[in-house]
Amino acid sequence: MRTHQDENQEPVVRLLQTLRPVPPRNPEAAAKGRSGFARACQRAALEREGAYHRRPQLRLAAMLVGLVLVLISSTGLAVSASQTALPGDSLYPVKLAAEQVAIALSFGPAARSQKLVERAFRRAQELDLLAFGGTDRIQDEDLARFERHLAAARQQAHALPPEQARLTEALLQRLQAAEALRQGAIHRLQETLPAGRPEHAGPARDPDPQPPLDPTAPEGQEAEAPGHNRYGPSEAESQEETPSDPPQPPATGADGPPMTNTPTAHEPAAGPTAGPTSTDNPSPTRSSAPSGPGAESEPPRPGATGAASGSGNQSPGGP
Amino acid sequence: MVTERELLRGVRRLSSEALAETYDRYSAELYAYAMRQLANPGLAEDCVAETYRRLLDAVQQGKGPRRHLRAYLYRTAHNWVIDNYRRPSTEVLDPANPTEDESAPTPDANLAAEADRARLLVAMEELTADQRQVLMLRFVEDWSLADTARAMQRSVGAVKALQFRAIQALAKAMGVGEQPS
Repeated sequence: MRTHQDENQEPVVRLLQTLRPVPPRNPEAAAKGRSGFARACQRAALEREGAYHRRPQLRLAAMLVGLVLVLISSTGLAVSASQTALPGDSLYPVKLAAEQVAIALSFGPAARSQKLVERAFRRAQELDLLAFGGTDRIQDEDLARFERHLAAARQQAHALPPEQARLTEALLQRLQAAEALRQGAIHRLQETLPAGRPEHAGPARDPDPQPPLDPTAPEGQEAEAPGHNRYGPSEAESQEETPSDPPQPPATGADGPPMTNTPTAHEPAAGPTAGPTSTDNPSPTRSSAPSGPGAESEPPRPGATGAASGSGNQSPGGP
Repeated sequence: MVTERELLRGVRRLSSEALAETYDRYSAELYAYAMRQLANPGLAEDCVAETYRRLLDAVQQGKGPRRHLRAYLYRTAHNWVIDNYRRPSTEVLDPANPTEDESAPTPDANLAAEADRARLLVAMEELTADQRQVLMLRFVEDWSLADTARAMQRSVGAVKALQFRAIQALAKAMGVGEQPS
């Protein structure tokens, strides 16, 4: 049954079908269109190859960025890891450099003074740790570094304005604590030294021993002649001494190094009267070691700290 | 002969062989499709060239057809035709002024058919773009409902409804089925 819709649709569809035939396509125009499309395809392929060729450059850039990131992170890790380094460790110079940078970047005299004091206190802690370990011994340069940092911190603390007197007082107390730590370290080292340990038992980190410094001298300025060790003779000096040398008389304060000449209120004065004299110096430092079985009865060389006497009756002083 | 799906995979890889095969396979019918609506060989060639250029650009940008290459090409061509449909092509609509490709003398027997054809094209101008497309694909290109639905990105049911309304509109525009007053 035909509907009204079908009656309308059939003539319309027949009319539409008359549109099917189209004039033949111009072959030249068709070929021109095809060649144009082929050129566009070639350009697209070339652009894609160019993208491939750029990839190595992108990889190189990514590698460089990665390398920079690794360097930055490794530097940060090294600085972080160096915070626990002790003198003689490979990362110890990094620790000192990081401290120097922190001090240089400190803003204002108060902040700088606090950083200097903390640096000196860290030096004292290092001496304490070195002495506590027993296997490693304090070297002259470690003591000299402590004295330098101590003097610089004290000078900066005293230079603070009067309105910051409370801060100055607190910083000086901290420095006294640092000196006490240093003194305790020396004392502990003297006590733990084995009897009869041969002299120069351990190799020194630095074959050229650094002389101790005058704490009152400006930082970096050496106040004592090379080869002289406040806690004993230097390696070269010890080698020059022979067991046949006559015993030296008890040292006087005038013979001592500058440090013992200017003891602080919390630092016991090194006493030449601490014990008998000896040609051998049972210095706890690496550059000089106790010699012979008589080390216990032999006093330190003139100028050595009271702790070196082994009497143990001298308190380190300070808190 | 490679299937349309295989051809599409090659096109998406910018394979020169696949692109050439695509042009050779579909450009003629695309030309005819454009020619039927534009009635201008130059515009029809432009439509074909622009359709393939858009395909290439889309593939380069990671876009373009995913499943139906032919439907995509017709859809692109249809959009291009819509953009150019409003251009006057009076020489085509006027049977007395044939196009350059129709330079051959028209037999007298075909004059009536040419007049009907011109009247049809004028009537189709009154339809919407979707109505024109569904009529062209279904009754001129002789596509199935499913293919038409893919090309128009509609459901088959929607294409059926659109086709019905398009026929009614065209019949009305041409005065088919009207009772003589």
